[in-house]
Amino acid sequence: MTVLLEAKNLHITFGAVKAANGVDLHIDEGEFLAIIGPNGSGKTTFLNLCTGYIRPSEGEVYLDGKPITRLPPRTIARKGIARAFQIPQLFLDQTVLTNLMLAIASREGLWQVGKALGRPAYRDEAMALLAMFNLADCAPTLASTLPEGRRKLVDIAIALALKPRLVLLDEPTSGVSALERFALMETLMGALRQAKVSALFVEHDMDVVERYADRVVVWEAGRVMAEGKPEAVFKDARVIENVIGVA
Amino acid sequence: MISYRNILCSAVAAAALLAGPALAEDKPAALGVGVFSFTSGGTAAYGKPGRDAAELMIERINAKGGIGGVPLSATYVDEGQGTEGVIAEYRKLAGDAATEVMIAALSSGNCMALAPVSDQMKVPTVGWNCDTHQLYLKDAHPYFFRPNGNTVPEFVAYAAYLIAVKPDVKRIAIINPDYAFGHDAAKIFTTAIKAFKPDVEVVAELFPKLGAGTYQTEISRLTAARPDVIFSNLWGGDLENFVRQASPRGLFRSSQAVLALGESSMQNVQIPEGVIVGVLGDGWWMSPDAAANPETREFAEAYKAKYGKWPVFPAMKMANSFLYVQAAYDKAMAGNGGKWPSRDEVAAAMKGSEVKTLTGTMQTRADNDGVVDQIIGVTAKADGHDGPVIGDMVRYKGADLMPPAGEDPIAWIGTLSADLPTKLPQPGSYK
Amino acid sequence: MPLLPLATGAIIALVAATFAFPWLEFVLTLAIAKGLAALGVAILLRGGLISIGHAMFFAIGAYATAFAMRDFGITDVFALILISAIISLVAGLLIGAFVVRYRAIFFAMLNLAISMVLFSLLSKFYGVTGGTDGLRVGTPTVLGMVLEAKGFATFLFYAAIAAMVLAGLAVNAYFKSPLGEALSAVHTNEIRLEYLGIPVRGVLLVAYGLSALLAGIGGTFAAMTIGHVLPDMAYWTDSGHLVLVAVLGGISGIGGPFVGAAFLELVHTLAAGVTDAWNMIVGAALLGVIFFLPKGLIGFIRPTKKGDLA
Repeated sequence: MTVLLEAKNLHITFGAVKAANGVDLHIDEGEFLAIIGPNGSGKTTFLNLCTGYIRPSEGEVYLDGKPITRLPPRTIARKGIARAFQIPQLFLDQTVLTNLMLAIASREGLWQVGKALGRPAYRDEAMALLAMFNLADCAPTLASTLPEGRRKLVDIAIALALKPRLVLLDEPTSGVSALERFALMETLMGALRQAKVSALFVEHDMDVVERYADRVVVWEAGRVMAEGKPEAVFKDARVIENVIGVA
Repeated sequence: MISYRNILCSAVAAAALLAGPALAEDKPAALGVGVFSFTSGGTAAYGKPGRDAAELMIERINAKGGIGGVPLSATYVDEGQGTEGVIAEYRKLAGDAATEVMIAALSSGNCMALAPVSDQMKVPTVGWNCDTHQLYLKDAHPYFFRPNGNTVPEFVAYAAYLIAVKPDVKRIAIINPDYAFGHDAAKIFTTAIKAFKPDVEVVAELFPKLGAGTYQTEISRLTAARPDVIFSNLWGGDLENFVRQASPRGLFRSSQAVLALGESSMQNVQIPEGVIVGVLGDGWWMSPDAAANPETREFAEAYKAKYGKWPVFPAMKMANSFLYVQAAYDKAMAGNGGKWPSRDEVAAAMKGSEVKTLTGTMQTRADNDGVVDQIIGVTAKADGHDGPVIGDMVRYKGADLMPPAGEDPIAWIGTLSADLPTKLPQPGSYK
Repeated sequence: MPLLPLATGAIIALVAATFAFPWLEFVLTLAIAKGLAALGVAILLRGGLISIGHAMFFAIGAYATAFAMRDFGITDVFALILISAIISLVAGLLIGAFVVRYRAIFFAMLNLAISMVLFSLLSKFYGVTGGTDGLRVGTPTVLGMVLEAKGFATFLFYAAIAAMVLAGLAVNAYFKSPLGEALSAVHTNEIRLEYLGIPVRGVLLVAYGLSALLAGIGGTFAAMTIGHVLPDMAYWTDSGHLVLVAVLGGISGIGGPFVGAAFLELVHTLAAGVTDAWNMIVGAALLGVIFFLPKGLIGFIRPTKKGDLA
């Protein structure tokens, strides 16, 4: 298996807090990697470092073996890494459909002045993607009027619309009701597997992790505490104590 | 013997008699005139006397039956709205056939902008305060008339007067407002002085922004430069502020001041004795010619009664402009048998005209520029006189100081001979 | 109400009005010139950026025309428009490259500052620019034909209408294009746009350049119709006026800025001809629109649709 994304010895401090304290982590092509850990341990910071939103004080991030540490988010996005956010990041004044079509246009042809964004090709692709998440009926809705749960789904759909090689999902099931959680993950993971997209997802729901992750990385105080297959990691005493808690 | 020829002649004569008044009946209900001045902002200190004089003149003319029996009806345009608005207003008025003539404008910028429009819309326009020498420099303006004078004779006159009273002047400083009028005057004055006395040194040239309000820094710099003479064509609120701030600092004691537009502010601020002032033309103040004219005396008294102040030279320029318009109508109607003249006929009548005004004579040249005498004097105290007084006056003939048509005015000034001031009438000769 | 017949009807009404009141030609040509510049401002407003300095491009377009005529002897009206367009576009891209790094109040003030520097330069360099008195703009020729001033004014009026229609169509296509929709997204979520791989600065620079181009073309129309250019054209209150026109007319579509410009010019002209207190009348009219038509004057004829920004 070829290594897709690799982080080596990442360090970053925010004031008194060391959010990354020598992080070594990698994800292979085709892999679904889960990151679990207590709140505030630096998981989202790690995603920020990988996507060029912030720079580490030490260490490097590599994509396909080439360093991407100092590149801006827009360049990294064009290299095939898409991100879905913990708090959904939508274009609130525009419709759900437009939100998706912007992602498609970015992929296909931003600088085409003569043609409209809402052309049939983009429209069809966007509707197909929305249908996959059962969001087809809210296509013409203004993003700002969407209820919480649906916002999350749209956020993820936008990331997928980029047709990336690697998608970073920050707590994809948070805000989604327990009932819909598995349905969402089934659809999502199924689509990713079919398109041969790798995924790195931060999760708190251990059932989801157990079911969908190929490998788990346990995060604590800015560094990797343990890693391995889900069954193995969940039996680790330290992990149970610090992360999962007593059942 | 009754011959057919006699009958025919009588018939024609009778028809003419009857047709005369019938044709003359073709007169409009009112003579629309557009009057442009500043009535808002600091410039209104200069512009309001102009506007007031217009209202008074219209009253007086209409009381005597109007022009050719037709009363005047004015539309006043405030130049304070900016040149764009002024042009729009002009076009709107010009597009209305009821407006027959325009009296515009006060600011040189607006004058320059309106001149081509007057040609375009073919409306005879009297530039009541358009003395900028640039007006006819590049283009001819067949419909724009400037009978009130030209900055070249206006400021060369000051140079001549100065040399006459202070032949040993060595160092001069200039403080003029920072726009065309100020820059042009500086150029004209210094070129003239250097033609009369080549070894004169310009030790400071300051151009504060129009409407600046405070001049303490400039006054400090002027004091430090130690000039013999300070020349300024600041006007309106600017001049008043400058005088108020400079007097207590002794600037007028250490240097001879020449305040070109001083007369217009004399009733608003205390100008020290001994300052050279003028009226940019042949104004009313203390002028023997004006005092000898009963109509002028009447006008001045009426103005004082209505507005509480004596008329200053902007008011006189405006009043004279109305007389100029009236003379044009009289001449046009005399020329076409009493018919009401068209705009073109009025413009033709203004061409080359010589009009007696309240203060002297306005001679219109072939290029529509005006030749007007220049009166200059010195502020003084006098017993038994109500208000400030100008003494040691001189009246220069306009023709002596006027550049020939078609020649570069600044270059022409440079050719003036150094002894010209001695050949002209001397200060104190105008009594 | 359907837009196309409405717009056509409005234009026909405008043209008819000038036959009844010939002086309206000048006022409406000037209104269209300002409307073009206000449309440029509206483009930036769509991206959440307010420029209080766009009068500088209006002035650049106007002065480009004056200099081209005076110093290079160019008299053809189409050549003059093209020259102003190119110069304003280049200026817009140069200045834009610097200012699009900033947002909100900083963007607004930077534009204001740069426009005031231009104003000072135009006012100070009396020898080159004519200082505060400005420069005359003669009557241009049309494809080699020398027109008398009155005839040219009529030609310019129709040319302005054509320019307005072309600009409206072009900007409409732009708003619907990916770049235009991306522009709308800038003010709601810049970060997400970057995460989509879209360069926000590039999107804004295109918008800024386009807005400068429109303002410059407006400036050249104004210069040719007034016959005079002044440093005041770059003054910050003129920029504020453009923002006012855009917001007054309504920024949800294309027609708003032109409606706003026409409204303000007409109220100003009619009021100034009647009384010295014309400023008060203009202010009262503005208050009326703000209170009763919060979406701008265009709200009169177009109820807000879902997805509209204003």
